[in-house]
Amino acid sequence: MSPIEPGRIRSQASAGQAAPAAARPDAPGCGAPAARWADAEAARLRDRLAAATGAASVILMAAERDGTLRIIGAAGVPADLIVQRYRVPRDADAAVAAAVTGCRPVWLPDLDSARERYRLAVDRDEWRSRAWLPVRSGDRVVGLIGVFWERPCGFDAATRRAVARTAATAGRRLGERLASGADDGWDGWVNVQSVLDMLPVAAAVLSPLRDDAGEVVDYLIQAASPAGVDVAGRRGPEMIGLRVLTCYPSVRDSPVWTAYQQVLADARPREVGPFTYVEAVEGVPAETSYSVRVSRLGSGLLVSWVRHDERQRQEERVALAERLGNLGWFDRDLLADRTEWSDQVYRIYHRDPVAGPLSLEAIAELALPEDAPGFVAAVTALTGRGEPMNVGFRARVGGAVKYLRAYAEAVRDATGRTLRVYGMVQDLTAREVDRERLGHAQRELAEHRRNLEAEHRLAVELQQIILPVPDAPWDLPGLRVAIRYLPAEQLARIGGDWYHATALPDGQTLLAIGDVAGHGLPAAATMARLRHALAALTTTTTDPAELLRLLNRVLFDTDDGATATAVVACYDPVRQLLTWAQAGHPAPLLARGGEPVALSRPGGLLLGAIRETSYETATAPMSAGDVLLLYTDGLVERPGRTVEEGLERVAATITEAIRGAPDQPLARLIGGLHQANPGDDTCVLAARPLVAR
Amino acid sequence: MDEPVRISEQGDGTLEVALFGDIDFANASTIRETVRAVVAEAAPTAIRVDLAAVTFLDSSGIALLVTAHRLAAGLGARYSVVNPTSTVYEHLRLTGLAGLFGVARPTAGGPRDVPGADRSSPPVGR
Repeated sequence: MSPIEPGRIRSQASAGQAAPAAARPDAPGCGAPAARWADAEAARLRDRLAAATGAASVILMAAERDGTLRIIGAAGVPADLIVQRYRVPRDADAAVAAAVTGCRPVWLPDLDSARERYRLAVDRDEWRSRAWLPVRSGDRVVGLIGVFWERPCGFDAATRRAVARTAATAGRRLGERLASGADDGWDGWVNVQSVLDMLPVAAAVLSPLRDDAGEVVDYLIQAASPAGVDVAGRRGPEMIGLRVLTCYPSVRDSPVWTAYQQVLADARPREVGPFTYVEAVEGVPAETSYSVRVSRLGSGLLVSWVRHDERQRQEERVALAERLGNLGWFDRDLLADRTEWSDQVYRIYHRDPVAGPLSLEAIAELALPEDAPGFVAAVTALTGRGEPMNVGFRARVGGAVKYLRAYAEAVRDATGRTLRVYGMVQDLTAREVDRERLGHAQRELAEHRRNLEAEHRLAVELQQIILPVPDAPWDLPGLRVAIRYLPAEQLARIGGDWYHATALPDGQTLLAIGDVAGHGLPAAATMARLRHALAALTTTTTDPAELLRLLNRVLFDTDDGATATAVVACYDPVRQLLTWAQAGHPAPLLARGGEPVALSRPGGLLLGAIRETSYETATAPMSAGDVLLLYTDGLVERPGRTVEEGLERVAATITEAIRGAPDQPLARLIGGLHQANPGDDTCVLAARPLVAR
Repeated sequence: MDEPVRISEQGDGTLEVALFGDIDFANASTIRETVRAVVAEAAPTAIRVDLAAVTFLDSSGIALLVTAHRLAAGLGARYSVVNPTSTVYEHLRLTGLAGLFGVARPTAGGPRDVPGADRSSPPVGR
């Protein structure tokens, strides 16, 4: 038996428990959650009864222990009757009362005689015949099914049997649902839902489910905002009616569960996180990082959450960057014998993702005969001896020859056995053509100065695609981050600045900023390649120095003569420590106690100069109240002025922003910064640690 | 406007590339192609880039120096960058290229040289 006894549950609910698929809401964004499943149930039943017996309408009611009845769902019922959807008193002379107290069906074939005999709960001239069927759970009547006919119905034995048989399934479901206590009365959550419907944040309202001893054993999701997406990808409306522990069993061991209990007890709002949520349920990403805010709302809880990795958005961006850079990633788990390809790899090989990745043998077979041995040798060296792979080869794909280059590194265990291989493959076929085309476009644009605006528009669009700049600060593990991109005034000079800010799988936050030499479309293309490569490389390492070493190699190998500078930093919210490395890039500014200081730079060469070079890392403690600023040189550099003068100005802006809004300086800070050199584009990334809870 | 680049063979196998004025986005790619063509033709044993007359060097100019370095490496030729002003030297130091190219720091008394310029980062604040 369920440990939850319906009568004890003081969470007033209008939604059911973990719902059968059919009870899912079918009209998103409107109406009450109760109406959604119960109306759907009523509609289904009405259709069946209409087919079997010619019935016109169905009403579902919940019977409560205090002796009242409440309409919870209806089909074929006029709106004015629906409006008064609850609290039908269980009068002694009501037909419905007879069905409940007698625990037997009440058949009323004729309206006039029914009116004489009973006070009718739902009276309507059109309904000539009606029947009330009790819904039981054990020996208690927990609900009623009302069936209405517009043509008089004689209710002979065959009809009665048909009605009872048809309604049996719906009755069982309704009974289970009502007995579970998931739906025991008050409709207040309906109003909560209509508020949540308008909120742009991820939020849900939970009501506690208690056992006989009054202990909270689980929570029921009563309402959820449409903007909410849970760890399994369910959207807000789909979460309504689910139980927290059924869907997210790991919550019990997370700090969130404790917060729920505390907030329920003392009504003081709490913030939890960022914490890493590890889910044991299949089909759910194993680890996700969240911050959660919990407040008390009536007898329940209002919970809002931020998912730090914004994985989906990130994936979309990576996909775009992949397409622009003609760069795809792959990941092979040798133990599980499982290979994963990104969409771009499928595109490169003209392969339907449904068909899955090609085997290594199949890839080797597609290579041109003169290139195949080199490819096979590189694969053997990689998987056998763990040697990094960087091999160019031609492959016959879709009747044409493609120029491909594959980079990969192996993860090995202590015994030297290769466990996993991560890599990227780039389609270089179009590159020469692209370069020619881009160069041609640029020459033309240079000739037609009036068209500068067109390139500006194009470059800005490209920039927006590659580098969407969020217009408000957002949260990552341990940090709030804000970005500002200041495009160059001179239109064709837009292009090379980029940033990257993302949650890492190990609970840290990665911040990066960079500047590709040059401007216009070629620089934008290089930027896309670097940014994508960085996103892909963070799956293999989170060491900033190692990331720069690999980025350097990617740039050196793929782009003859292109150079770029960058800072890559990794923030550990637990140790409150920033670890960073730089490649020929200006040092970040860190304001501690309102005093901005340029961090002392560890050694590092700009990217793309030589193939093999290593980078040093430096660390800096960073905790609540501090502000970090990563920037590109357009912020401080200007012909005829020293960099020091530019930095002084930026430092003053930081100090002013912190003084003006000590708790929320980021918006003011990035809003107050302007590039020193309007001829250069500038990217600024500001971050401040969140208060640890 | 004068040519921003003059390339001369020194007779000892050294190719001298002298740059003039502002080397930036506007002229760097043209200079780069010129240098590339001459280097391919002359196949020098050493390339020396003289920055004495360079007043400003942006990231495109930096990329030009890197390209020349790669051309030299491809030929097995020695590569050097000489005579930067202190401003240009500062840019080479920031990018780490001063070390890679073995560029000497401008001597004291050179234009715009500042004592203490070997700090790894400029001071900020106050």
